[in-house]
Amino acid sequence: MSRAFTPGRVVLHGLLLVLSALTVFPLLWIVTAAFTPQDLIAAKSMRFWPESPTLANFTEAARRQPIWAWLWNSILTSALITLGKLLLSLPAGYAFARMRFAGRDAAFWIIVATMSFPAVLAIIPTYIGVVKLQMFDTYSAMIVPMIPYVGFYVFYFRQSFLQLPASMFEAARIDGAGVWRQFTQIALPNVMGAIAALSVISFMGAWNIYLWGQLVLDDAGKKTLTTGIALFADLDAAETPWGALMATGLLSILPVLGVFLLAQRYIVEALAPGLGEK
Amino acid sequence: MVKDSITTTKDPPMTQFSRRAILATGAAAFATSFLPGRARASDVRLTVSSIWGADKPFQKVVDAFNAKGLGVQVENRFDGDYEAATAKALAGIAAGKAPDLMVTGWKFGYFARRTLGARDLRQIDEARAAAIMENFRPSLVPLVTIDQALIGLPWAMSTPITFINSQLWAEAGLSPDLPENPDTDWLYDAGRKLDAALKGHATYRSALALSNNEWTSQSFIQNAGGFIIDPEGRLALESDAARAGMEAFCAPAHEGLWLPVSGKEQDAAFEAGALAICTTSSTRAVSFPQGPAKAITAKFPGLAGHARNMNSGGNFLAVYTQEAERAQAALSFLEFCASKEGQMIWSEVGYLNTSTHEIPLINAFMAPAEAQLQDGLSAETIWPGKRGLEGQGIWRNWVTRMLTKEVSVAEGLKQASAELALVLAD
Amino acid sequence: MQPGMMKRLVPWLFVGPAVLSVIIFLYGPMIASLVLSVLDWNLLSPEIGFAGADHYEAVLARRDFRQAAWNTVLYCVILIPAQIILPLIFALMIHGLRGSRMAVIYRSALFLPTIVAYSVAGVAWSWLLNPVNGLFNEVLSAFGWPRSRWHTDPDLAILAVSMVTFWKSFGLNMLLWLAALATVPQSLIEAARLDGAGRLRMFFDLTLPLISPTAFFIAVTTLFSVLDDIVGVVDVLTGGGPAGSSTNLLYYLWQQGLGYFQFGQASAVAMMMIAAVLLVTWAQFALVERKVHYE
Repeated sequence: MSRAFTPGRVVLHGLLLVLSALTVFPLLWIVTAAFTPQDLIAAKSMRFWPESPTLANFTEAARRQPIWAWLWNSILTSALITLGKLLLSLPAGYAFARMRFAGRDAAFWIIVATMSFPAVLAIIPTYIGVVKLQMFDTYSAMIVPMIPYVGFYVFYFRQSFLQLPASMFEAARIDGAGVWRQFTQIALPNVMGAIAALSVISFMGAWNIYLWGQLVLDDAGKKTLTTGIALFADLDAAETPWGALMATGLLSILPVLGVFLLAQRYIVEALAPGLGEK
Repeated sequence: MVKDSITTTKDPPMTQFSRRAILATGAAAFATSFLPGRARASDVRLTVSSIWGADKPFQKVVDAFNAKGLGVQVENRFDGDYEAATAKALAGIAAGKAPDLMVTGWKFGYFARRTLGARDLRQIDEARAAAIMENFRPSLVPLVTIDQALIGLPWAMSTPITFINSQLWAEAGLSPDLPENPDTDWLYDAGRKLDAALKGHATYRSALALSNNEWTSQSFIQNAGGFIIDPEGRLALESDAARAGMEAFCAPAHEGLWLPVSGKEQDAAFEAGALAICTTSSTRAVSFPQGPAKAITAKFPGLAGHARNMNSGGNFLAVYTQEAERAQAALSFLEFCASKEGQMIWSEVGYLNTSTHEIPLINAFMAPAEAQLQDGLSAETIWPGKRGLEGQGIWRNWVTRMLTKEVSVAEGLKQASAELALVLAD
Repeated sequence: MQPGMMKRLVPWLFVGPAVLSVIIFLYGPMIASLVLSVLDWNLLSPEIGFAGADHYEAVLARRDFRQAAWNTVLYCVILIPAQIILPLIFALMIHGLRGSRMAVIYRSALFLPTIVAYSVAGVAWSWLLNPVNGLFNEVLSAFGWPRSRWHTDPDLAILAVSMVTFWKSFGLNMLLWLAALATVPQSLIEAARLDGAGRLRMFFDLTLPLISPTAFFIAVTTLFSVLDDIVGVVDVLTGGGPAGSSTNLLYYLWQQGLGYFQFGQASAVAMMMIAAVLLVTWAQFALVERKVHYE
C-alpha cells in the first residue's frame, strides 16, 4: 500500500518522533548506567553514552545477588499466573457466551464487577491469610492470590467467543461433539489470537508485580527480578551499587521487551474484536 | 490438618532448581550461605534477619563465626531497611517462623520488646549475658535496656558528622583547616561563601544539606539544649530550646542554601559534586572520602553559645527465638560479635567502636565521629508506645513542613507535639 | 447421573472456578476488611478486642487521612482524563500513519515504559528529577528558566508523581485504542470523506460511536487502575512525601496496615474505599448499560 507524501504525514512523523524520544528518554539513564563503570556513574547526573563501557556491572550484580535465580523466578511466577488466569477465564468466558443457565447473569456481573478492583484494597486480609496458612515466603503466596483478577479476561473472552458463528458449533454438534470437545476443538483454536494477546498482557502485568512480591517473598533466592532489585539499595546505603542495580534493571526489562516486540501485532489485531461489537 | 497439607508446598521443586541455577553461576558469596564450609548435621542452624546483604562486612562476621565450627551455623538473611525488616519479622513471628536473631534500629527498641517480644539476654543466661556486656562501654548498656530487659548487643552505633567536598571547598578559597568544634554560624557562612564563589560552576549547584530526617533535627534540638523526648519520657518539643534548635536547623533551607531532598538523592548529588557540604551518618566515612567528592570530615555543627549534646543512632542485635537451645546458640554468636576478633571485622562498616577493645580507626575521616563519641553521645529518639513506629513518621513530616515553610517553626512544633501525643499515648 | 442434572451442572463446571476464586480472593477480603475494621487486633496481639466504630472515628479525625483523601481526588482529576484522552490522541496519530514501518516503532517506543519495573523506573526518575543536579533542572536552567523542586516540593509532588505514573502506564490504553481504531472500516471513512465531512466531525460522528465499547471498557478500568499504578510510583519515588503531600488513600492504607500494623485503621480506610469503588462501579455500569450494548 503506497501512501502519498503529504504535509500532514510529515507533521505526524515529527510529532511522534518527539513523543517517542521523550518517552524513551528516561530509560536512557538505565541503559547507560548499566554499562558505565560503577565509580564513574555517580560523577554525573546524566550521560548519553556510557564512558568506557563495561559488562562488569552484570557480573558484579550476579556476585552480590542471585540475579539469575530472580530471572528464572520471574519467568516462572509470571507464566504460572498467566496460565492460572487463562484456566479460570477461558471456560468461564465460553460458558457465558454460549450457554444458557440459571444464575448466568448474576455470576457474570459478580466477576466483571471486579474488573476495576484495585488490588491494594485486598492486600491486608490476603496477607493475613497467607501468614495464617503458613504460606509466607512461598511461591504459592506470590502466585495464587494474583490469579483471580480475571474480570477483564472473562469479559474479553466472552466477547471473543460471542463472535464465533453459531453455525460452526452447530456442525460440530451434529457430528457428535460434546460440550467439552466443542470448547477445546472448535472454540479455543478460533480465538488463539485473543488468547495470545491476553497472555502477553497478563505476563507483562505479572512480571511487574511489585508491592505484593515485596511483602510475601522474603528469602533472597526466592525473589523475582522486580522485587529483588530493591535489595541492591540497602540501608546504610553508603555506597549504592548503581551499576549493578541498573544492570539488573535492564535485565528485568529485556525479556518482557522481547515478548512484547514479538507479540505486539497480535495484541493490536486481536484485542479489538474482543472489545468490539458483535 | 490444613497446616500440614500446606506446609508441604512450602518447598516446591522450583526452589531446588533455582538454587542449582545460583550455584551454576558461581555466585560464591551467595553459595556460602547455603553451603557453609564446616557445617555438620548436628549443628544448630540460626537465621539472623539483617539489613545488610551478602557483600557487606556483617556477612564476613557471620562467615568468620561459622568457620569456627562451634556447633552453630548462622545464616544471614537480608530483609531490607529497618522498616521492611521489622514488617518481615512481624509476619514471620505471626507465622511461627520468627528469625532467631534480628538487627533492629535503636528507634524501634520499644516495638522490638513490647510487640515483637525480643528476649531479655539475662533471662536466657545471666552469666553469659553479663560476660558479653563486659565487652562494651558501660555507658551503652542503658541504650539496649528497655523495660528493665537487656534486649541486645549495642554494637552498631553511628553519629552524624559533617562531610565537605574538598575540591569545591578549595575552589571557593575556603581554608582547609576545619575547626575542631564547628558551629552553625561558621557552617552557614561557609555555605554563603561557596554560593558566592561558585556561581556558574560546572558541577556545583547547592551549598549544603543537613539531611531531612528525624535524626539530624534531633541533633539540633539537643545542641540547643532541648529534647524531643526528655529523660523523664515526656514530649519536650514545645520548649524554647527546641524552638531555637529547629530555627537553626531550618534557617539554611529558608535562606536557599539547602534544598531538602531524600537521603538517596542527597548522596547522589554530593557524590556528583553538586553539593558542597552534607551532614549525615558517620558510616559514609567509608565511601564519601574515597568517592569523586574526595570528602573531608568535621564534627557535626553545634550552636554558638550552647554546649554540644550530640546523639547517636544505629541498631542492636537482638534474640527472638523462644527455644532454649537455640537461644543459647544465639548467645554463642553474640559472644563472637562482641569479641575483639568479631569487632575487628565489624569495624569495616564504619560504625563507632562501642566496645572496650582496642580497635584502630578504619581511616582518619572517622576521627570527628570518634571525637563525638568521646564527648559523650545520647541515644536517638526511641519512640515509646505500641504505635511508636508512627511517631517517627509523624515527626519527620512536621520537620519537612517546617523546612518547606508550610508552617512556622513555632506552629510546627506545637502541632507535631499534639499529633505525637495522641499516637504515643496509645 | 441424570441428563437433566448433568445439563444444569455443566455450565457451572465452566464458570464455577472463576466465580469461586473471585469470591474467595476479591470479595472475601472485602468482608474480612469489614470485620478487621471493627476489631483491635494485629497479627501478634494476644487477644482480639472489639473496637466498634473507633477506628473509623480515629481515621476521620486524622490530618494525614484527610490529606490522603483529598490527594486521591486530585490524582483522579488529573490522571483519569489524562490516561483516557492522551493515549487516544497518541493512538489516532499512530493510526494516521498505519502501514508505515515507523508506526510500529512509535507504537513500541511509546509502550516501552509500561514494561519497566516500578523499582527501576523510580531510580531513573529520581535521578532525572533530583532538585539539586537532576537533568530536568539542568535543562531548565540552561534555558534560563527557574529550577524546580519537583517531587520534593509539597506543592508539586502530586504533579510529579502523576507525570511519572502517566509515563509508566499510558501504554496499555494506547494499545487498546489502537486496536479499536483498527476495526473501523476504512470504506466508511472514505465515504464520509467524499461527503466532505471534516476530520473532527468524522471522528465524533463516525469513529467514536464505532469504538464506544472500547471507550467504555477503558473508562471502567482506568478509573481504578490509576490508583493502583500511583501506589507503585509513590512507593519508589516519594514514599508519600514530602510530609504526606503525595500520598493517597491506597498508599496510606498500605502504610498504616503493613508499615505500622494498624490493621483496624487500615481496614477502616479500606472499607471507605470499597464503598466508593462499588458505588462508582455501579454508577458506571448503570449509566453505560443503556448506551453501549455488548450483545
